[in-house]
Amino acid sequence: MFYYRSFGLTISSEIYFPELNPIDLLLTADIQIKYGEISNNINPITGFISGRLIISPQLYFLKIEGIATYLVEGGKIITIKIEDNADLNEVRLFCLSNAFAALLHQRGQIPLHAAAFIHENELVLIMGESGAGKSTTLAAMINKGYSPFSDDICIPYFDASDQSWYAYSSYPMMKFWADSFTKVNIDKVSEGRKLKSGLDKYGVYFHKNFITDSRKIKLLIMLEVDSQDNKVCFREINGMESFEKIQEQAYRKEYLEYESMLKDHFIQSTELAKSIKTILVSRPGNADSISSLVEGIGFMLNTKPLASSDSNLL
Amino acid sequence: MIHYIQNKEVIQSRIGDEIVMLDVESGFYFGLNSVASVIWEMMKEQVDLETMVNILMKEFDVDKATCESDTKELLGQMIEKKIIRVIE
Repeated sequence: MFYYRSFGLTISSEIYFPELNPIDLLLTADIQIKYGEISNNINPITGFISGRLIISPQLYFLKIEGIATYLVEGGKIITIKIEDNADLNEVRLFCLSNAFAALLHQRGQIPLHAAAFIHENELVLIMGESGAGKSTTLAAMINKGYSPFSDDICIPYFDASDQSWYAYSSYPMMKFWADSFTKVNIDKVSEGRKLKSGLDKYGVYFHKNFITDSRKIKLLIMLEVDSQDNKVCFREINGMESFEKIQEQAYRKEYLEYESMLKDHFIQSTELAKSIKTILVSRPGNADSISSLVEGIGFMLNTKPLASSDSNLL
Repeated sequence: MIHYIQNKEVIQSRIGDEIVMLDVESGFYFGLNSVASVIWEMMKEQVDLETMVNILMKEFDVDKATCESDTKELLGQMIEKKIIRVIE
């Protein structure tokens, strides 16, 4: 049995996960991951139901041909049936993304698709559409000396005792495409490994810097690619604009309606939009704009307060 | 006289001077701008069109005819979205 602390949870697992943060033996864990047979005849009362995917409030089923079948129940148990000759890297990747998203939803949490790094012991979240440059920006901030908190998923919650939003990280691994990977400072992270055969994407661990506790969210950077513009622009956004962009970035957002979580998602998104300072950063499509972007973020973090709400940095 | 009142089931949140609402059935969000938000707030208790128009004319620089027709149009949209109820 293996024990981990990741996603803000303690985990006991029959399967070895190098991606997760290992801890000593536990008497009781928040959740269990186990091998097992999974019935094909699952019929929840409500939700999305197909041969390969079932999403309902306390039950999730996913079958991926050639890889594995996953069953997630009650926010507590993940059962995995691995197919013969399956690539175990892929078995684990689908577990850590899809199955854990469902598990967290079943526990009443709504993770965000966000990378994050630490500044003055608080979090700067980086959000944006796929391809906007979250992981690449994170890698570049690490090169500037900031510590990584999370690459892909942050799990927010509101702490009533100090009326602030905090977040947990998911696990200590970052994923990069080959070209950005070579630019990452490997003092802060360990050697990379290929995530999927045939795909030029690498996983890089940061176990020794991993923070298992939550941290307060200080700032949210929303990345966008604007091919019409040839410079990097920073603009603080508020209200409806901020809400629209934040709500879009719920991790596995498409599951939420079938899990009866639309109202919780709405409330979380509006509260985050109201409470957390959000900066929209738009950049031109070329990879070189990342370095200007990162210069700008560094400048913004180390200059207080932001002089005006509009700054154009080339 | 016809009165209008907010549908208490509506899931809403005020963000600055706008209000964002969730249509749980469709999963879509929509927003009320600052003027629509003022009109919405007037319907916390049941209220008739004439009262609303009088209040709006004091708050905004608009003539009665425009105010009345714009307000009626907005009310029509709100009825369609089921966020308000009509009391005959």
